[in-house]
Amino acid sequence: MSHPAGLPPSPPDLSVTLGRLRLPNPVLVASGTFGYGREMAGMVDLKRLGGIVPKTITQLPRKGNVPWRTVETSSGLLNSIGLDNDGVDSFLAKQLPWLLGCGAPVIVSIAGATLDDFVELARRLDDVPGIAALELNISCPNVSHGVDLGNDPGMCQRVVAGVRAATALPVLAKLTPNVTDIVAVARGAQDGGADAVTVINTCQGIAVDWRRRRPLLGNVIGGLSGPAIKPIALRCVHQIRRAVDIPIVGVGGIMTIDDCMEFFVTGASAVQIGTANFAEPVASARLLDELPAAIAELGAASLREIIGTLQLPAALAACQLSTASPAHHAT
Amino acid sequence: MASDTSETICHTDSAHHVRARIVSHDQVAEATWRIRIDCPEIAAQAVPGQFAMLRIPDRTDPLLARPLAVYDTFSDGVGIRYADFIYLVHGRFTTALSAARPGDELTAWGPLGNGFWLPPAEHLVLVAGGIGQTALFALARERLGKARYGLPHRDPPAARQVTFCWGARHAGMFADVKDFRGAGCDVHLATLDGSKGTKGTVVDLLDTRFAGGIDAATTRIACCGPEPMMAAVSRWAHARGVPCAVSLETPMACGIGICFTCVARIRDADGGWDYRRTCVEGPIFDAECVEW
Repeated sequence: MSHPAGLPPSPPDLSVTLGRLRLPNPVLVASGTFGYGREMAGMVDLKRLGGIVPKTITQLPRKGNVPWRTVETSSGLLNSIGLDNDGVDSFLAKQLPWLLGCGAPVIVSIAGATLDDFVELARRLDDVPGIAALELNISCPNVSHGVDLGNDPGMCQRVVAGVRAATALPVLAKLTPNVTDIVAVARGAQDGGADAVTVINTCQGIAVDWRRRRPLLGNVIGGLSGPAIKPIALRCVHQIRRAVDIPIVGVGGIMTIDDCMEFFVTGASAVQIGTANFAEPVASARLLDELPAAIAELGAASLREIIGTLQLPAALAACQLSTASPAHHAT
Repeated sequence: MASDTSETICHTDSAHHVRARIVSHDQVAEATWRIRIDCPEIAAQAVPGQFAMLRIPDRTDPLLARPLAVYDTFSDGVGIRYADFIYLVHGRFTTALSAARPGDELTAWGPLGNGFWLPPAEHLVLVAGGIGQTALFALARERLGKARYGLPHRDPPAARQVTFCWGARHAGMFADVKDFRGAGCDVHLATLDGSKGTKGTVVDLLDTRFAGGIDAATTRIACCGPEPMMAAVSRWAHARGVPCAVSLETPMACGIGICFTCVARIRDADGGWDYRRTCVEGPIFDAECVEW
């Protein structure tokens, strides 16, 4: 511990820098798992949060997918909501004003089917005062085309570059794990000028009622979240951290303070709490309460000191830098 | 599409997230359990038709909470402190919950949802299918002047008569019918196999009970059960011009409006429909507004 004996430890510095975006602390809430913030005001002191990423918006209203929209699976939640939202005009008029007054940085999540959709939305939001950053949802597995932009490193780069040209706001690119090489897509985001990458969106899956011989989700295929995907998310953070220079926002199955710390040590500069908000609406506030002690346990005076400090076996360290696929390594 | 959250009453503003001790937990019918939890913050505020999310804490499987209608609330002699829930064991959560014992703790958040607020009715007809009675019992007690709910207590118009029509698969599925009789309801049962009451569906039961007609001007229906059953009761009510409120039982992941799982097709003023979250805009809807 760095504090003099006999004096209480000073709280660790929790501030986070994600490219041009500065946040007071690393505990954010993930898009699609916190409504528009307003719904959670009775559960969480919103101004404590490092950032709120409200539900993804699109240019035009979308009704969303046919129920059932979620199914619980083993330690996980399979969803296919389908970007149900009222469109950017309604968001700006009815949701954002309240959200901007809640005291937490607001990172607006946007999605579109084409590069032009993203650019147009970014341009629209560029002159709205108070927005902290944009998160590009190029990775929603539940809408047509949504996953395509995030599947291809070149397309990812073009979308990020297009958005960068259209807005002065910091830009986070949210990546899908449903690709062969997520590192290549992360490089595309970096080359396009992203301030950070958000890693990961949901993992595609289905759930089946064998007695009725039917899929359980109305949209058949959905995205898996929750504790079941944490190892996948950590693997993606690990690989990207070692290959890309821009900061990483880790997301995927975080329920406990141990989960948060695993992401920080592996290489995430901040985390997003997602499915845990459903299972425990006060989770984000609880994790903020628990974070200082966990950082102190590592003898650190700031969060910054512990990010990406994962120690690898020497023999594997060099090898893992050279490839995206863990399948190449002996197990 | 989402609704206007800004214009939606945010029930989470007055909801509480608590650790709640299980006070009692008993099997009351086939695959049906009644659980009482110690949750004064939730119980004191709850009004008929509202629900709470219950979760088995500190484990990831089952991961999520489930919405359960507040069946009734009870005092410890000082104030309202306990809430009862009755549930059917039919999935991973309810199977796990049925193994919990008195003294164990759950996490709970609520009360949630809009609850019933029916205009005055001389004759209130409650129609339940399966486990749907759980959303209706407190309403029966309230309208018959047997209990008061909410903080401060709300004071709804009393009903002169409450008829309770309940349909189930077979006789073994009826749980605590005595509660409804004790509250003063006129109770009528139906079973699909004829093992108790009228043989047939609850709509067959309505046909029998109201064979002599129903006074649309003085009667209101409140209904809860499986969706096809509620659709059928809505059609029955519509055909007779009787106002009908339904408590939708769509699956929920959060109960507080953040996940957009629990949507139902609700009619717009312009004749179209939109997906609305039953947790924050319902679960009680005018049956005429539901696109079945």
